[in-house]
Amino acid sequence: MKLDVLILLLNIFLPFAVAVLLLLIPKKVRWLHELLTLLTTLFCVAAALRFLLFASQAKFTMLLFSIGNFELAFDIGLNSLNTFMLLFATGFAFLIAMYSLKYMAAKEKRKQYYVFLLTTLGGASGVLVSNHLLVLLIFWEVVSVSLYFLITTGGKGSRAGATKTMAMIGAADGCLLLGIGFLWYLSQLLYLDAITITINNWLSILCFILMMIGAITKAGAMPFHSWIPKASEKAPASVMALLPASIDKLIGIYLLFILCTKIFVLPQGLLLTLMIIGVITIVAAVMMALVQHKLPHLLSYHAISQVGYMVLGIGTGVPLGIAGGLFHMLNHSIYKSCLFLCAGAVEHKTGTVELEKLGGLSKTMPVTFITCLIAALSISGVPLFNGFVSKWMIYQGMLSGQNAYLLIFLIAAMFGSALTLASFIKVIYSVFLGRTSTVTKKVKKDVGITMQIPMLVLALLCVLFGVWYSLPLNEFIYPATQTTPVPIGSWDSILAIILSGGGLIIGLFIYMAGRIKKKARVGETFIGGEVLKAEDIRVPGTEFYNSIQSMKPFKGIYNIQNKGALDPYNWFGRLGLAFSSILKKIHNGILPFYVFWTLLGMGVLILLFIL
Amino acid sequence: MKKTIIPIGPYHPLQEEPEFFMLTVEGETVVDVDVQIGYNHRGIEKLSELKSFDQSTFVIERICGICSTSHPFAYTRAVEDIEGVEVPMRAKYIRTIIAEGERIHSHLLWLGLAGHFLGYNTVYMWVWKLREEILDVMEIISGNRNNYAMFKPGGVRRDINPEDIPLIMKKLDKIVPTLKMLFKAVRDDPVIHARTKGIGVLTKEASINFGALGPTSRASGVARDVRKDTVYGAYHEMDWDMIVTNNGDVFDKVVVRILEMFESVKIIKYCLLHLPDGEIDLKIKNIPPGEGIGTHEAPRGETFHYVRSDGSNSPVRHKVRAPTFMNLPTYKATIKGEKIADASIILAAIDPCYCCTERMSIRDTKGERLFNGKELIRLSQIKTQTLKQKLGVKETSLEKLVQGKP
Amino acid sequence: MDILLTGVYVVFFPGFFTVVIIGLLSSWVDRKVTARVQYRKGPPLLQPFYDVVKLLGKETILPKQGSRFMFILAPLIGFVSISIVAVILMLRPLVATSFVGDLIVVVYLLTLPSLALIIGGAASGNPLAAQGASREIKLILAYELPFLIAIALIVYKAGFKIDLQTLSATSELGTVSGIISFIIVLLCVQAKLGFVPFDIAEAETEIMSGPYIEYSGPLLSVFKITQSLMLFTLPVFMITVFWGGIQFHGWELLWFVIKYVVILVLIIVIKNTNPRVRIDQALKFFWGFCTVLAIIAFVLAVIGNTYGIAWL
Repeated sequence: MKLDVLILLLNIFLPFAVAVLLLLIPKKVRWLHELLTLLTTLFCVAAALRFLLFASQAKFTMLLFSIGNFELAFDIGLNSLNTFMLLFATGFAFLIAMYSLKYMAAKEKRKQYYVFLLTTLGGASGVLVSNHLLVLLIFWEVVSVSLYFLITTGGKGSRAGATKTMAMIGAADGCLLLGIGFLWYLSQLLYLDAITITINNWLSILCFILMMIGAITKAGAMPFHSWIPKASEKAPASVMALLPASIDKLIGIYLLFILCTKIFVLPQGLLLTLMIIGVITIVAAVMMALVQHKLPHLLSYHAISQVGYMVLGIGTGVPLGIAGGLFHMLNHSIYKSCLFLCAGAVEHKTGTVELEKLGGLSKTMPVTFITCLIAALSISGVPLFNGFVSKWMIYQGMLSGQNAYLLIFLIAAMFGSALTLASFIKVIYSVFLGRTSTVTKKVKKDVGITMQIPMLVLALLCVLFGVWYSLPLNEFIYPATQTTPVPIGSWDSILAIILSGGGLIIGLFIYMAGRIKKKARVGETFIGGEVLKAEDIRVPGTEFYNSIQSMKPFKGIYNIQNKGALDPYNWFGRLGLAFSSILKKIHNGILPFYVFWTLLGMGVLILLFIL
Repeated sequence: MKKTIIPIGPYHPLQEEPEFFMLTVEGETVVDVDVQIGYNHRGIEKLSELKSFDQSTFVIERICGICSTSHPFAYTRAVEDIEGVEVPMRAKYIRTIIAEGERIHSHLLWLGLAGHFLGYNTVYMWVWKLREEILDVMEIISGNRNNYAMFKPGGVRRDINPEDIPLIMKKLDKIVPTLKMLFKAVRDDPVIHARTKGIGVLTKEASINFGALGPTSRASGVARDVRKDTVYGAYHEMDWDMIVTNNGDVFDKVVVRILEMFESVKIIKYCLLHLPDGEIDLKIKNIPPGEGIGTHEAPRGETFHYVRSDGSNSPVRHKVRAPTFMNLPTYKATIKGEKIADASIILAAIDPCYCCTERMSIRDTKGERLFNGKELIRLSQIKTQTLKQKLGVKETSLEKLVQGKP
Repeated sequence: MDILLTGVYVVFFPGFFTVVIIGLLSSWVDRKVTARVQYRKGPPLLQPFYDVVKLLGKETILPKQGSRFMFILAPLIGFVSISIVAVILMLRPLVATSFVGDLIVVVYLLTLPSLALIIGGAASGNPLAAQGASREIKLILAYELPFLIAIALIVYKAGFKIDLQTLSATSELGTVSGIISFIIVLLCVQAKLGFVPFDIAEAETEIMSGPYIEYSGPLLSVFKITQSLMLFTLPVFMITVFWGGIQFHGWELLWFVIKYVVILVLIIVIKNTNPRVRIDQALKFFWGFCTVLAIIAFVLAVIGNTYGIAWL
């Protein structure tokens, strides 16, 4: 037990220590940065694995100070929920560290990147195991600040994205702090395992909403989502894979989960609000993703859309749906980071992320292609991959509600899935299939092994969790939710894969039957008989959905969206500008004016003091 | 946005003949079109110079299988123009009957193909079944379903047997009600409306600027028809309407062609009932030197033939200009800005017949095209100048006509 | 023993081979009826079988551009997924519990044959195939929405159950909303099968058969078998969900054959009386008219359920 506690503390603080150490080591000694980062992340993974395997329940408390009723204690503890999340958080950090060896090798701000990778790891671990809300908030802030610095490693131009990120997450964290304040007022307690609040007055509703805003902004649901596409413009792909794709989702949904299940007891109305937010996010974000031309933007909008599923699942309020939402969080992190890593690999080799300029990379980058295809099929919810299982559970959660309006959500969610599929067909076609373009002709071979291994591991997990889905459900999710819900439908994936195998064999048999004597011939494609220049007849995938974009109701919406009119960041920006312009007018720079107001203020204070 | 080139042809299920269209598209919208022809060139103008005036008729007929009468009609008129003679009335009536029969069969063929391109195979098969009736009529008259071998300079080769006339009238009567039903079906079908109304609009101005001919221009409101504008055949002996509509889209072109078929049936019936007695052939012995021009309103527009003779048995120069040659450039006006899905029906809407239109193209041994249009015109002008200097020829009447001199 | 019996069911009767044979026979019915409507004679009974066998003997040509691996894999993916759906639907009467999957699984699996076509077209390296692939995905987006609404309606009427045994026990065609959703699903099935008026993706005269253009030989025969499997499976899906399911004994078997023939005839009639529409017109049709109709049916069903009006 004691050892466990020590390892737990190391899990949190070792990354910070090594980060400080890295700051001191000069940039030149690159291998030392990389080695130390790898070792640290590996240690954390091993620690988490140990916790999981031994079902450790280590706890540690250290009272820092107390004023009256208010206690600030460094209280951390492991339970079935955060053990597996810790494993995945550290796992992602390790895989991305391995990926970064090659990917960041040529980039300028390498040192900054590794330093803040480690602080992110430490912060995320801290968030997951904290039992005291203020400690959780402190580590939460650490992750937010690390995100800012990680985005700025993207070089010039990334500052705008980083600033927007900081502004939105900072505002959301402010809401979180205010919510914690109200929580203290309502319950006088700040220990997670002790609080239970029933929502019955406006203060508790406000408290929940404020904390919920904090959680879902980090995760990236609408309407507080716009930092993710802006950040993705210039941030390196591995940063996007680390934070918005995996770790932010993990801790954001973790917070939402404990808000909805542990801290508050939610009435139907708030659950409904959550579900509405979820559904709107799913559909609106994927409609935005359909018309994007740059790969990081597209992937960001999909990340936002998938958060909708998680919020929807948790909002159903039934064990099956909540377990589905949690499982979806896990699955999403896996396939989303795989997709961002593939996008990074493509950018590394071709130097561009414009879909219009890419094409035909399936031959020269086969590993990237296969892993990207598997991740794309998973995010679209194709059966036999992990995305389908979690979506299926969320759908069943909605059906157990037995309400007609829930069916509307069901339809929207399933349609969102079809739209996701459409969008990823465009991606796979534009980047990998199709003909090679002038840009991609220069690519000769795939990325290096250290970049391939993380993608392969993640893709393998997608398939594993899809076919053998009872494994993650029984090992990770059900112990976390402490329920074992009974599904109302059935999905026998093992049988399905046996049948698929059989079907494939029959299909291959038919194919071989025709090819017994002859080998297949390779021939030029037929386009009518004349010879045209290759670049002329290449069809880029970016125009696939122009028909939808130019349809009457959507045209106007897309126009408004492009001008930024639907972005709360812009609204608050304008509001702030308006407000400060009023203040600007008041500040007229004349000294007697200020003296007058100061004296007036002092007079009022003295009066109050006397009275 | 990236401009992609979608090739249509040379081998494409959309076309009956090989031709090569390059549609430059952005997304689903066509922004430009270019055409290359030359796959069908058979050297018929040269062949015509090697044969006698009478033999040439058989070669000229085979320029096209669908509009096979319009070329001999124009050619014989050109030859008769050199001599300045008029063929006998009976021959004129018979010529008119054949020409209008061909118009019906050609329009029906096009209607079926239009249905096929729209994916409406039922219409395709039914219309072609209807076409069998008119082909039977042509077989009764001439013994052939397509290349009728009825025309010769000076008249027609064979007569119509009076005993056949009742049978022909019966068959024509069978056609009319089915045509009426077809017209109603096309006029009322909402999906056909959706696919053809407002598609590929050729404005009246554009039609005049490009010099479009035939139903293509009549659908845009240009009231021009050789049968009405020139006195030839039996067209001025009876009352019939020239069909003109105003919108210029594909739907109008369909309507114009269907209504023209009704008029053609009217004309044939009148001609059969009022067939005058007399000779069918002038029996021309020789053609004096000179040049002649003959035109005819083919199903696709005005066919133009120019023949120059020097008194010998063969033409010295025979120039063919088919109506599709004038209608082709209208694609620049109709297809730009439309979607690819509409491109096929717009390409088919002018009822193109490329074997009539053929011009040559020069390629090197690798198949690369050597000269484009401008260069060929320049080469041709150089050749004309050289020939003129060699022959010591002054301005011809055609050149005077082109330059606007009296 | 049980496993062996299930295996026999899956592979021979009423599983895979039965479905393939009936599917090919159905495509013969389609071709013969179409020919007769067009005053033609039509092919002999075994023509589809001859076609498949002939294609097997032809040469396979792989495109030089594009991805050869995906080119070969795509028809197999479509074939496997539609076979699994066929087996799920046909084995349902014989197996006590749900076999392999429920309604949501079937709906997701049914998108896979179209997906296989798209990937095959995308992997061909041919601009016309890419055009066809893009049209097919837009068509999927178009009909997926009213299809999902109609399916949700059925789930609602069945009491929020999604396993096929429960759904196939009742017939929805006795109610107004049931009939409306049946018609909508029929139109969506027409689009899924790639029949006129929605054969936009494989338009022969516009884009030279779109995604199929580079396929030849055994791979094309796999696609043809997939198409005939879909011609059988989709009406059976409609019968299972809307029309009271299928059984294999006695009069039930005859009733099943009649139901199947009725749906097949409806599909063929729609196919022969309409020209092809454009993709944006199809989008407007499905997202406009069909979706509104489906929503009306849904509202009717809710009203009927809340106020106990059985025939709504």
